[in-house]
This record gives sequence, C-alpha cells and structure tokens, in this order.
Amino acid sequence: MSPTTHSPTPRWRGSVSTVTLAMLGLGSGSAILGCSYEPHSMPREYQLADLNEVALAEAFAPSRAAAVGAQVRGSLEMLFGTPANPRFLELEEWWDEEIDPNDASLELSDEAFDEVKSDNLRRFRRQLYLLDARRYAEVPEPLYADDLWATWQDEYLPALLDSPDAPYDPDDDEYGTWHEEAKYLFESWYPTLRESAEMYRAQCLHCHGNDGGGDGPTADYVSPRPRDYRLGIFKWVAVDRNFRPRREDLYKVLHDGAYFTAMPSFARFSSGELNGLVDYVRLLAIRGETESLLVGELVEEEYLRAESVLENYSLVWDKWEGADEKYVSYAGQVPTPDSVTPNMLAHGRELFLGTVANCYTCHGTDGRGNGESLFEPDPDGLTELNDEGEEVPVLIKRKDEWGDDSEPRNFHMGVFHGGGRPIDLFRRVKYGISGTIMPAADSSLTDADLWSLVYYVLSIVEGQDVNRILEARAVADAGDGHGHSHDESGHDDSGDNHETQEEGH
Amino acid sequence: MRILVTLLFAALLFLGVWTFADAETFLLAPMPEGYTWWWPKEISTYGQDIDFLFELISWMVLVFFVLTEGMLVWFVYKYSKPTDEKGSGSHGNHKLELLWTAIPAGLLLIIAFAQMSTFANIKFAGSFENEPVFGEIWGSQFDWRFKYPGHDGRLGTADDVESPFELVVPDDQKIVMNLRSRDVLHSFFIPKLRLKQDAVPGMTIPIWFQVDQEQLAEESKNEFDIICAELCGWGHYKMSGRIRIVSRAEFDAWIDEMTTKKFDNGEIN
Repeated sequence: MSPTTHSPTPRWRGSVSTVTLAMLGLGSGSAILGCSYEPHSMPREYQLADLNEVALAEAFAPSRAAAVGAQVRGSLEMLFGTPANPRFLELEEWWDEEIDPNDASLELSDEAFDEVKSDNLRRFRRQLYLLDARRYAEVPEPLYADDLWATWQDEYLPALLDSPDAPYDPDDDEYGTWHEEAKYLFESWYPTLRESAEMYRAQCLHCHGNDGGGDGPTADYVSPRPRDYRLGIFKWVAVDRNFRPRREDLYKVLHDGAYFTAMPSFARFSSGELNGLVDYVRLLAIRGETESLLVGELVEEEYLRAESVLENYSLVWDKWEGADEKYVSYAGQVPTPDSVTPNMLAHGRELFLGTVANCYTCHGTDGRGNGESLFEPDPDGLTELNDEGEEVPVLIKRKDEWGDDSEPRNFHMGVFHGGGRPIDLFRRVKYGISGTIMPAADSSLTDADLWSLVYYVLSIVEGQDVNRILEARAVADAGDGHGHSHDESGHDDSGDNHETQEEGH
Repeated sequence: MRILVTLLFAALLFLGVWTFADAETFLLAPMPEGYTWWWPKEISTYGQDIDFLFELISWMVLVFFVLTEGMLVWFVYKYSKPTDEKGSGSHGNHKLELLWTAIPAGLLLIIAFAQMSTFANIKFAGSFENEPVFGEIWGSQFDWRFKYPGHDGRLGTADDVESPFELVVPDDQKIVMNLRSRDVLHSFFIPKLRLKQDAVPGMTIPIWFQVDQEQLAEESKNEFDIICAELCGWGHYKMSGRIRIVSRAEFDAWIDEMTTKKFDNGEIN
C-alpha cells in the first residue's frame, strides 16, 4: 500500500456543511413537528363489526354483499351520523314527550347538574379568572369545547368587548348582563356529542377503537381486553344482569377506573366532560346493537325494510331508557365490619364451599380463581395424554360473551375490577356479572346469606386480618361443616340441603 | 462560509439541548399562574434543600456544558481552515489527565457531601419511624390508588377506605405512607412537594412529606399534580393523580364521608 497524497480539501468542506445543515434541518423539523401534533382528528366512517361483515359475506353472493353492507352502513349513518358529527336520529314519538337524545344534559338530575357546574369552575379556572378580571380578549381556548368556543367568539366576545354591562336580552329580565351570562356560559358548559367524540378520540380510541369495538391500536397490549361496547353489555353496573347500564354506572367506571385493568381513573376531567363521554359511549353501544339487529334481519329476511330500521332503533333505545328501572337497590343497612362475627364468616365459608352458592367450582376452594368448572373440553376435540398414558380431552377456559377467556377473581389479589365496596360485591354475587360465566345467586339464598358470602370473600383478600379467617375456620370445623350459624344475621334455612341441591345455570 | 457553518453547528448543539428540554412549552404557551419557568414553587418542609441541590448541580452542569461545547465549536472553527500540511497528533499528557480526573472527582465529592444531610433526612428511617403510617399508595398500570386505615387506625382490615386518583391529606402533620406497586416499576412524583420515589413490585417503601403551612397559605389553590415519573408501559402518560391538602377538620370530614360511602347501599355510587 502506498501512502495517499490527495488533497482532502473539497470533499471535507462539502461534507461538514451538508451534515451540519442536515442535522440542523432534522432538529428544527422535529421541534416544529413536536409542537403541532394532533391526535386522531381526522373524521372517519364507522365500520361494521367483523362478525357482521362475515355474516353478510356468508349470506349473500359476493356481488350483492358489498351493496347490502353499504345499505346497512347508510342506514346507520342516518341514525347516528359520522364520528366527526355524531348525533341521534329523533323519533317522531319523542317529539310530544320532548325527548331529545342529542341534548343529553336534559337527562341529568339536578344534583348531577350542580356537580357539573362546580367542576366546571375548576376546569375553566383560567377562563373564569380572566373574565372576572375583565380581560376578555385574553381568555384562552379550552380543549374539547369547540361549540363553547365558537359561541364565545361569535356571540359573547364581540358583545363583551363592546359593552360588558349591557343587558344580555333587554326584553327578558331573567337574563343578567353580558358579563354575568358569560360566566354562566363557562360554569354550566356541557359538551355536545361532537365535542365528546373529539375527546373520545384523544383519550379512549387507542384502546376502545373508532366504533367502540375494543379494537384500538393499543388493545392488543392490555389484559383483560378493553370492553367492546357494541354488544351493549357492561360488567360493572348496578342494574339487573343482562340489562343495559345506567348513566351513573358508566360514569363510575370512568371516574374510578376499573381497578387493575388498563382502564385508569379519568377523575382529572370535569364531571361535565365525563358525562359527555358517557353520552358518546352510549351512542356507540346503541349503534353497535342496532347494527347487529339490522344485519340479523338482513341475513334472515334477505332484505331490509325501511321501517324496520327505525323499529330496531327504538327497540334498542327502549332497553337503554329502561335502565333506571332495573336498578338494583338494597334497602337494608349494609353490615359494617364491626357487626361481622366469626359465625357469619363461618356461614359464608360454608356457602362458598357448598353446592347451592357453588362459588368454589370456579373460584376454587381457596379462592384463587382456579376451580374445575372454569374449564371445558376443547370444542375442536383436541386430546392429550395424561400422566397414566390415557387419552383425555384438552381443557380450555370457558369463554365470555366477548369470546375471551374467563378469569374468575383471585381473591388473594385483593383487587376487584368493579369496585371493592361491600355493596359492589353484594351486587356481583346477587345478580352475577353480565356477559360472563358469573351467574346470579340461587334464589334460595337470602340477603343475609349473601352478606355472609361477601364478608367471607373480603376476609380472604390479601392483607386482610388473618385471625378473623382462622377464627371462622375454627368455628366451622367445630360444627363439622353442618352447623347452623347462630349470629344475629343467620337465616341458614338451606344449611342441611347443600349436598342434595344442584344449582342450574 | 466557514464561520457560518461553525455558528450553525454551535446553534445545533445549544438549541438541540434546549429543544429536548421542551423549550417550546414556555416559549410558545402562556405561562399558567403560579408557575415559574422550571419548577412550580415548592411547599414542602424539605423542598428548599432539594431546590438547593438541584440548582447546585444544574449550575455545575451548565458551566461545564458551555465550556466543553464551546471548546468543541472553537476547535471546529480553528482547524477547519483548508491546508495542504499533513496533520500531526499529540499523545499522552500526565498533567492534563490528572487535571481532568481531579476536577470531576472534586465536583462529585462536593455533590456527595452537599446531599448527605438532605438524603438522610428524606430517605432514612430515622426521620419517620416513630410516626404512625398514614396510608398506602398503590401504583398499577395506569393509575394511583390511595388506601387509608379507616376508623380503626389499622391498614389491611375491612374498614379501609380507598380513593382512586385523589390523595387527600391534612396540612398539620408529617405524612408517612407506604408505597407499593402491583405490577411493574412506577415512580411516585409530586413535583410541588419535591417528593419522588420509585415503587418497586414486591417491596413496601415508606415515604414521607410535611406541608409547609405558611407556604401553602400563599398558594391560590390546594390541589396539585401527582404523576408517574418512570416509564411503566404504553399508558404511562395517563398515569396521574391529584393531591388535595386540607385542614384537619376537613380531612376528618372527608374520611367520614368516604367511610359512609363505602358502607352505604350505593345509591349515590
């Protein structure tokens, strides 16, 4: 190799400036991009659920399936609008009753409205502060409040800059000055469906998907899977099994989160915003249910009658409007821990391991969520060899309505997705959990029995007082497993029949 | 051209750091009230100690950042002149090496001694072991939950009160809480109180803070952010909470309300 003697000058100078400029461009480019990122603001169409697409494809010839699919999508768009502009179609029979599902705030109780109002004071703190200081021009634009902002800019701001103390409406004494009405505008703000949809896209879409199908981009990375709203079934509710949730039920999940799932608490938003999200979740759920009904009718009848679209729509609405009537209240006094006796826990344990309540079959005898009934033979008939060399069917976990593996609660974890208050557990035990293999309690069990069960379950929870459960076991063992409980709440009429009864579910 | 390219290079170095330090948030956005350009004003009894250390280290870093990057830029400029001469290298200089070993070692020693009392005060058990445990903080993907002992004063019993998202504390006592995680590493961070501690699955880590009542009185609000400061999964950015600092009477009323809520029949939800 001979030493090179070339002059490096031209290439050297060129490369420095090119590299530097390129890096500079990259740096400033990323800085600019970083400032103007907007998540998912593109309006898109609602899509049909995969299951429904398949049903249509199987029922119709390929040439017709596309047209039929478009018909369903068109009908649904007529009923529910688009993601960019969602709305409910108003039915004629609602007109007389003055029901407007698009103005959901009308459904709010007075207390809920007061809560919205007081939370908005916090949400719009900066805006209200500047209003008070009469610095109207500086009021900054709030997030997810497009309609509010448009009203503010078009109507209020010009009037305020002109004459803030002029009456809002000279012909009507009910209104105050523009200044006062502007404060009321922010304090009582309630998002429209369109604004809530915008917020849904920023906060919820990445898991729950554009159509509420639980199929957003991050859905694959969370366990348990995000809820698919389109069946209309929600687990953490205070209504009877298999009925639609109330607004308050959805609100509670949004506010508290579903503990130890990827659903966090959204308490950092105002109650107005959360109620708006509830409205939009309801829209997606009602839309999904209507879609399934329309597709079902198409597959069965081979065509879709114009009037059946509206029929199905009001059918689904009825279920949701009737939700309040299905509310499960408990009129009595919820037992506090002080009133729980070892006898009561012993009775709960007896029921837990008995064949009437049948808890142990899924939750396991020690409450670890691994009971035998959780499993069923593989539907495809797969077999395996057991330890003795015999051919036995492969056991898989039973599925829930969404097609996911059932996961009975492991009480030792000490967490309950739907809330850990005694009344929450009472509702789960008494009415089961919609969409899952958790059944409603046998009708022979009294409320006192159920409270014993609830407190027995709470006593297994990790970190709970170990002595209590040891005491309870001692009492149960002393009675040889057949003893009636004699505490103040014991109504154990079914105690001796445990072995002979089979629960049907 | 040579000076221009060198200046652009320098701008890249300095602006680059600034960009990644999120300069646009305080350049472009209006500053919310009660915020400074870096930290919010502290209201914790040990907040000043943390701020002193933070500023000490920041100034050290700033001085040496400007010095070293300045030298780099200067050399880029100085030796960018086109020349036909063959380059010559230099190798080995004990005095220089001693110098650039001794100076950082000295600086590290300064930091080590400066932080000792502060670290001991915040992290060592001696400063809180005689206090009763006020409650538990549970981190899980992706929220914070706070558990209070309830009326019996003991954690892990059925009358414990749980609060998602919101940590409510009285302003008149030293708050000692056990920090735990249900799944992965999290970091419990209250910027306003200068409190930050990793939550490690399987470990119970005690943390403490005490609100400085005088400084709190100067604030326009009593609610402050809680965040997760350790990348804990895709939903890390959602993992937030709120601390509300109230008077003793308000706190007692709140605990009563939460207890009533826990054992009522759920009409209110």
